Parts: sequence; C-alpha cells; structure tokens
Amino acid sequence: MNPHSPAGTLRAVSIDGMTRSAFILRGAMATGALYGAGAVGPYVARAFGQDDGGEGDLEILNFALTLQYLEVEFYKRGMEVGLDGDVKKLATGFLEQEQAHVAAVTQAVMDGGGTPVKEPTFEFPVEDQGSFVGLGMTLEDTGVSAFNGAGPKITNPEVLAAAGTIVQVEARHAAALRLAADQEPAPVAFDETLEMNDALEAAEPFIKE
Amino acid sequence: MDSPITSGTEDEGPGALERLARDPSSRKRFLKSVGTGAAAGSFSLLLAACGGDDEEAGRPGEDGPPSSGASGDLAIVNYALTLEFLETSFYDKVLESGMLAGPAEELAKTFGEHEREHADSLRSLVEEKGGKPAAEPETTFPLESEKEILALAATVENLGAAAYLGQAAKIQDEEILAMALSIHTVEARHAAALNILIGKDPVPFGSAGVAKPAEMEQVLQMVMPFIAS
Repeated sequence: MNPHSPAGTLRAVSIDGMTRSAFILRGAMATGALYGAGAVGPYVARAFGQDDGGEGDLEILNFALTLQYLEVEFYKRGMEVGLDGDVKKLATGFLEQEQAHVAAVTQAVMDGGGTPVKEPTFEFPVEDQGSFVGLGMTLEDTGVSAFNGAGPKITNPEVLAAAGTIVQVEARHAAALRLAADQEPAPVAFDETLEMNDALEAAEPFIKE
Repeated sequence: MDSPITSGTEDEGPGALERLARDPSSRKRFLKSVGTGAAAGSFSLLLAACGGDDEEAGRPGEDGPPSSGASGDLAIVNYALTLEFLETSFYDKVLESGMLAGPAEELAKTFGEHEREHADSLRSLVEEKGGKPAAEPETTFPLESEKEILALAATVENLGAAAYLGQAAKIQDEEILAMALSIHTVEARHAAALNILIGKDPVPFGSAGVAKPAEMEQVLQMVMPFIAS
C-alpha cells in the first residue's frame, strides 16, 4: 500500500459512531479517498448547505469537534506505535494543540447553547512512523479542506473567526507532516477545489442519512 | 507572547504595533501619514478604498468591516490582492537575485507561482464583482544573503496568513469568503514550511494551538518598508 495515497489510507480509517457528525465525517473521508482532499471541502459545504438556518453553526461546531477528536486519537496512536526524532517532536506538540482544540470547540458548542457531540471510536492503519506520517498528512489535508468547506456556511462571525484560528494551525500541521514525508508542503495554490460538481454528484449518497 | 506577524520566535513584546492597534488616535495618525505621501500611489488608493483616509469610516480593524456589504468585501479583496502582489514580487526578486539554491530555491519557485495564482484569481474576482482591482505596487526588499532572504520569506508568509485570518470573519460574500479561506491555509502552509527551513516552530502559537490574526493597520505598517515610494 502506498502510504501517501489518500485512497490507500483514508479508506482504512474506521469511524464508529451514530451521530450526524460522525456520519458526515465518514462521508468526508470516503470523498477524500475517492477524489482527494480537495473534494472534501465542497462535500462538507454541501452537507451543511442543507441545514435550514438556526442550528447550522452548532452542527458545524459539532462536526469540527468530531474532526478534532479524530486528530487527538490519531496523534495518541502515533505515540503508542513509537516515534522518534523530529517526527516525535512535531507529533508531541501537535497532540497538545489538538487537545486544546477539542477543549475550545467543546466550550464553543456549550456557549452556543448546544450539547457537545459524543466522541466516536476510531481505528487507524498506523503501525510505524512511516504509516503515521503518511496518514497524518492526509488526515490534516482532509481536515483543512473540511474546515474550509464549512467556513462559508457559518453564520456567526465570532464562530467563523475562531474556526479560522484553528484551521490555520491544521494547515501548518499538514505542511510539516508533508515535509516529513518528503512531499510538497503546499501541493496546490488553493486549499480547496472550487469546481467539483462531478465529485459532489458522486458523493451525494454519503450525505443522505 | 509571540507576535502574529513574525516567524514567531522573536520576542518583540507589546510594541508599537499593539499600541497602534489599541489606540485610535495613533491609528488615525498612522493612516494619515500613509495617505499623505509615504506610500506609492496605488497603496494610497488602496487605503482610500478601505476608508483608511476617512476619520469616521477608517477603522477596519476594530469596529467591523471598513464598510458594510459588497464595498467592504471589495476593499478586503483589494487589500489581499495588494499583499499577493507584494509576495509575487518578493519571490520574483528572490529568484532573480540568485541567492537561493537547492530545496530553498525550489520552495521559492513553487510558492511564487502560488502567489501569482492568488493574485490572478483575486484580480478576476474584483472585476467579476464590478470593482476596480488595486494596482501593482513598486517594491523593494533587502536580499543580501540566503539567511536574510529565508527569514524575510518566513516573516512575509506568517504575516500573510495572519492578514487573511484577520479579515475572514468580516467578509459577507460566500464566494469571496471561500476563496479567502482557501488562500489563507496555503499561506499558512508556506509559513510553516519556511519556519521549518529556518529552524523555527512551524506552529509558533504555543500549546493552545490557536493562530493569531493581524489587523489591516498592523499589516500595512509591516509592509510599508517594502513599498518603493
């Protein structure tokens, strides 16, 4: 299996949970596996575009929370398999930052009068440093695209500003892990494919509950 | 605390920029000084478009968008376009200087292409929305050594990422917001890669992991030295 292929790695990530957020995250991962991280943004935008106001921001925050849960568990998994050198140093810092994101987004959901979504269980195809770095960059790329897709659907400017402060950090994680995997840190000029109608058509089945 | 507009390890303390951001009268003085000849013509135009030379309307950083709705969005896009012009010109001049080699040169080439694509897309977007794109400013950068160039590149990219972050929540138009968000994270990737290249933390925000935005006045003041008057 090519550790740098999204199709090879995202497919093997298991997200076991019954919440709508977990469902959309599974769809996002399936879309990323099929069409690359760039397709995840439009997919997520469409998923939240279906909301008819009111609960929209809370739904998006809970989705963001689910994504942050995934990233925390991913970095914990990295610590379990054993990392060393620069990668260990990076992952240690990133884990702390993702944990801080979970706390911040949980608080934002509660501030908005919502109930923080339950954490799904995750399984990652990570056995060593190589598979950790390969999947890590793909997950972070996917997370960046998901945030960027959801951003324009957020109605509260404060929520949008807070999401921005998090997604910039995810993009930095992605770039650092890509460099560690000897890949371009910024593979494209825009972190979202703006014209992805074909992919959206194909992804449609995943976003129907 | 790290400044949002450096590569993150230089401790500048609560300096002039923060005072400027807090203090309306010094902000006004700054905007006036920019508007009365310190900047190139295009830059003055940009500030005029942002309402920066108007005492009542000129507080884009603190009091919400420079003006509401479509004209506010266009001012933000032109501000972003000006930053992209600066970045494009920076990488052009870096590559012309011949000071970089190997992986650093490769990164500069790729990043420069990205900035040009950003500028092209933003310019088209302004036109599409019925506005007048900002003009390309004349630039000047200190490019004496590889070390200086890479440190400046990291500063510029971290500043760019902070600048986009500072505007995101002020944008009304969904299409403009989508483009700004997708550029924001690419600037962040550039910043992280350059930070790593010069031995700094790719995420220079501590364990809270929350990026810091920069307001328009801060950013414009930071880039002033690179505008040839």
